[in-house]
Amino acid sequence: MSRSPIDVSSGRAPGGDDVLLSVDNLDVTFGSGSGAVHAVRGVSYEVRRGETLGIVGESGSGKSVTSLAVMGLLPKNAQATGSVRFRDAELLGTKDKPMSAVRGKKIAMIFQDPMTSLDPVFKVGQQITETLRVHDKDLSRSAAKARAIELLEIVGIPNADSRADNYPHEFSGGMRQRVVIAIAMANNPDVIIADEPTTALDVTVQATVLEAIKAAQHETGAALVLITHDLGVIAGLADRVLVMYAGRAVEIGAVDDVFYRPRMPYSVGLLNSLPRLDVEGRERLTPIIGTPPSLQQLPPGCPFAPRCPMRIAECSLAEPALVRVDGHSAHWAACIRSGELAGKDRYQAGNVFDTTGGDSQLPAEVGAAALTDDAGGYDASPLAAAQPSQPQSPDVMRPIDPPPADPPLADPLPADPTLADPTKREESR
Amino acid sequence: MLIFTIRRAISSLFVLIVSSFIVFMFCASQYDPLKPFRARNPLPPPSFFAAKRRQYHLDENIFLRYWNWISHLVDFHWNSWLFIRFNFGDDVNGAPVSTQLAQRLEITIRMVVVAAILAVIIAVIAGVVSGVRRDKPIDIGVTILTFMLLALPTFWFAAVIKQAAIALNEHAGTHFYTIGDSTPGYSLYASSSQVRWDEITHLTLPVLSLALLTTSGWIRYQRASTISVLDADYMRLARAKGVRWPTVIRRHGLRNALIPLVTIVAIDVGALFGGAIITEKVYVWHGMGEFLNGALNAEDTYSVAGWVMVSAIFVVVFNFIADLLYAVLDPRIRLA
Amino acid sequence: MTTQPSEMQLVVPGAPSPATPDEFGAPSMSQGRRALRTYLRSPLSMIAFVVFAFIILFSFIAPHFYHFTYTTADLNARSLHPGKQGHLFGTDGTGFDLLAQMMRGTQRDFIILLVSSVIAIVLGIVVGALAGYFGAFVDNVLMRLVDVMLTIPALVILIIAAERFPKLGALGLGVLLGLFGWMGLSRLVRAEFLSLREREFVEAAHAMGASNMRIIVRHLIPNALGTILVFGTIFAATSIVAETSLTYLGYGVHPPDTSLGLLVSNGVDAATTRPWLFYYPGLLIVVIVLAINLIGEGIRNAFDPRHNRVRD
Repeated sequence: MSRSPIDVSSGRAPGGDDVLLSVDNLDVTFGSGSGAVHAVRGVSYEVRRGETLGIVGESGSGKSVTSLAVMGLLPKNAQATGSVRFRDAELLGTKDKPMSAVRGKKIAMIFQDPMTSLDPVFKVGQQITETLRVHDKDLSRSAAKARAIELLEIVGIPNADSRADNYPHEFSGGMRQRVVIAIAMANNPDVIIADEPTTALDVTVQATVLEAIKAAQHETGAALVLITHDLGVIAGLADRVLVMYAGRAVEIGAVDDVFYRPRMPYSVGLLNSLPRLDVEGRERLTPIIGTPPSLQQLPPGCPFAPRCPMRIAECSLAEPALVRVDGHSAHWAACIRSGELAGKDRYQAGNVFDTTGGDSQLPAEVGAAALTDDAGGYDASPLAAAQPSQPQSPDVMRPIDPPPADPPLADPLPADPTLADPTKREESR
Repeated sequence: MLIFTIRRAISSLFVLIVSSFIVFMFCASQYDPLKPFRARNPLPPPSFFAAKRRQYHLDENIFLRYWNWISHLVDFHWNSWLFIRFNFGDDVNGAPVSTQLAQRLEITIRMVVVAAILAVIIAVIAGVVSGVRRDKPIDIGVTILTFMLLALPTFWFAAVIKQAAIALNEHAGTHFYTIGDSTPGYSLYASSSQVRWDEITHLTLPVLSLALLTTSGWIRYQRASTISVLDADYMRLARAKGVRWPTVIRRHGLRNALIPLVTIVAIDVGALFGGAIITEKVYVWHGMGEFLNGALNAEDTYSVAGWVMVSAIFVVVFNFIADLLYAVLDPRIRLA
Repeated sequence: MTTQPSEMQLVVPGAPSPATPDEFGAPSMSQGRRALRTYLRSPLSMIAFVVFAFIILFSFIAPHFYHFTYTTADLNARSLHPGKQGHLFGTDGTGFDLLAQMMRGTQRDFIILLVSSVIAIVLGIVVGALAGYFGAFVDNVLMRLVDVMLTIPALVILIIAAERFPKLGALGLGVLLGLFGWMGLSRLVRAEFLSLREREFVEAAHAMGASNMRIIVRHLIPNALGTILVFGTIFAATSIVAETSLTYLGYGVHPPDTSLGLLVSNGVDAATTRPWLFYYPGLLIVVIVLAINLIGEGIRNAFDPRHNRVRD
């Protein structure tokens, strides 16, 4: 499959703050031979001091694997190529001993499952002092203990001095995650990677954990890489966001740009699959039909094509490169038709998905139909046959020149008058 | 903790009483210690049988017999160990069972304790190394060895070792003792340190065969435990903190991996105190196992019941130790 | 607390599902079928299984084609070396052909193994499931029962039973071994059930109105299947070794019936002078037990969910 080289001179934010972590063309493969899984395929990003990069994607998109590759914690059957540079030092391929000097001190990580991340036989305080003393041999026990208590207080654990002598099983899930955050920030790292820190927790607890992460970032001034599938978390914390699909970055940009003016159909679909609070009455959710492709057998061309309502014949020929979106230097999208989404906000763009969101057909059937497609082109007839053809609303995408090979998409829902005038709509977070 | 101990003691007592009751009933109702006399030619007179029946309490109600036995089981006496003296009644020859059991126990304990210590050391080292270097040559080697050891019948293995030792003795001039727990009569003229050394050298072969067989199961267990610990999330977090891999294994992996083994060892050792019957027979050690064999052959109710009681006490005590150790090592376990 | 996606069961156990494309384009299978496939792919496990099956089949079928039987002793052909006068494995001191005896012995041992394993597994599952699922009082009572059984030496009961019922034979021995061997499995099953019963799918099953029995049988036992099967193979191996030990001590199988254990214990004295009487049956025992252990190891690997997981 084609790998698109990314123009690395991408998004240097105006102001030119120094880049702490630079991932370039990272490629991770598990196993070998016919059973090899190509989990990460040419991902590149940069993180600067103090900024927060959110990495978003479904399960299987490869987002966690990229962070494990950065930390050098991939399992033995994984091969990583490309480049991961921390302040000009190449991390990929570094041996355990020098890498251990970096982990926990320069780059720290917060893991997904707080229930199993902490060693059950050691006290919580001991697990914090361990990371302090492994990077500072001269630190005394009492000084380390005092710092550990201080850290627990910062992340919001009450009665920190007595709680430091408790064992992990005496804490709830949210509190354990806060301990993990305290461990991550203990040595004032330059980069903190949080791999789905709230996924395993209740919604009410998520907020407290996110607060703790914010506190950690504030206290250390570190750059934060926040990996999640929860768009709300990104919206609350991130400055820039990277959308991953099938092991590749398909859209990168500032949060505002990507969330309000997405230029890749997958991002559009993601954003539109969230229920809206600002609309009265009922509205059907618009899911993205089908399922992510198998990383062992990727279809040729754009991996999103089988599920994409905007696809055309050209989509299946080659994987689109990440291309700068017109007018923005820091917004990139990997879609040959991203230009058509220009000027639309996400809901307008999302209308493209409505036609495929009908529940008169089971997703599996449609997915199966899509998966059995060959590269020739999408046969819209099953769907078109199911939906009664409706007059097109002026807001729906118009076919552009050259005309697409498939018939124009029909829009079954009546046009929402509020969509006609973007200025009338209230932005709500 | 105290409450746990008390509750455990009570339920252990219950277990001891019930199992001793069952065994006693079984034996008392089925056994006929007079069998060898019945086969004699000429037959002894009825008065002989009557006297014997009185001696063996055979005419009494078996529930009464059990009650008499259990109620006189434990005696409190100044001189004795833990101030307790056991009274298991008399065996078919009129000798008190408890003294015999004490002698036998001392001999068996020697073998079992040394074998257990050796087996634990081997199991921990082989199991951890095997687990850390999974699928590498050393793991494959250890796995093959343990499977072979697991497959060997006890006495077959012990006999093979004995054969090998005899052959070595003949050809290489070594002095492996293949029979007995000590040289008979040695203590009459040798110094105590020489007697000790004599006992130790007699230990070599039986301990070797017992330890190797016991350790094979433990190695498999320890290996599995190590493998599952290595895969744990907290190991990954420890690495992410900047701790180097060998240190992570040592500090976080080992402690967590050893916990399950501790309970298994405690329970198995408790069971071993019943006497490694086969090993004792092959090497002709006069320990607990041989005693049971003899008692079963002679259909001696009191000997069997006494043996069961002693063996059961060990099992119960060691099960208790196992649970206690588990709670000490794993803070998640709180003894309710 | 939400369940980790990576921790969720792959399929609902108990019901084999037809192969349907799942989200990774690979056909999904039930746990049992997946385990079978993994097992079939492991060369060591397959070899062990083939060897074991061959030995058993051979021992039941070959006697029909062999000209010597285990009951006839030829007094003119005593203590023959292997290969002499058509006795493939030689003869013993009384003139019995060793190969015929070994085949018969293997038959008996197989019956003992089968009967004892079935009984031990059934009893172990029943007691363990009830103790683990219902917990509290039921658990307490059943575990005390287990403790009592553990302290009673099987030997005592076995010997008395052998006295009273001289026709014990392989079947009876198997039954008794099974009756004294289920305790270990009950502890294992109990531990599995204690943790399984907290999982959400049990709650879900309750909510759908499933009865306790249905939950235990259709949902919990299949989940504990790996542990049960592994124990089964270990127990099968130990029951053979136990039989040999018992026979060595003088209990167990008696002539004219024979078993591998009897052959070996008779052969102990002949180890130096007529080694074939000692080593041949002994090696056969080792091979059989080794094969069973390897099968068990293969089953354990097959049910191990770890190598199915590719991290996100």
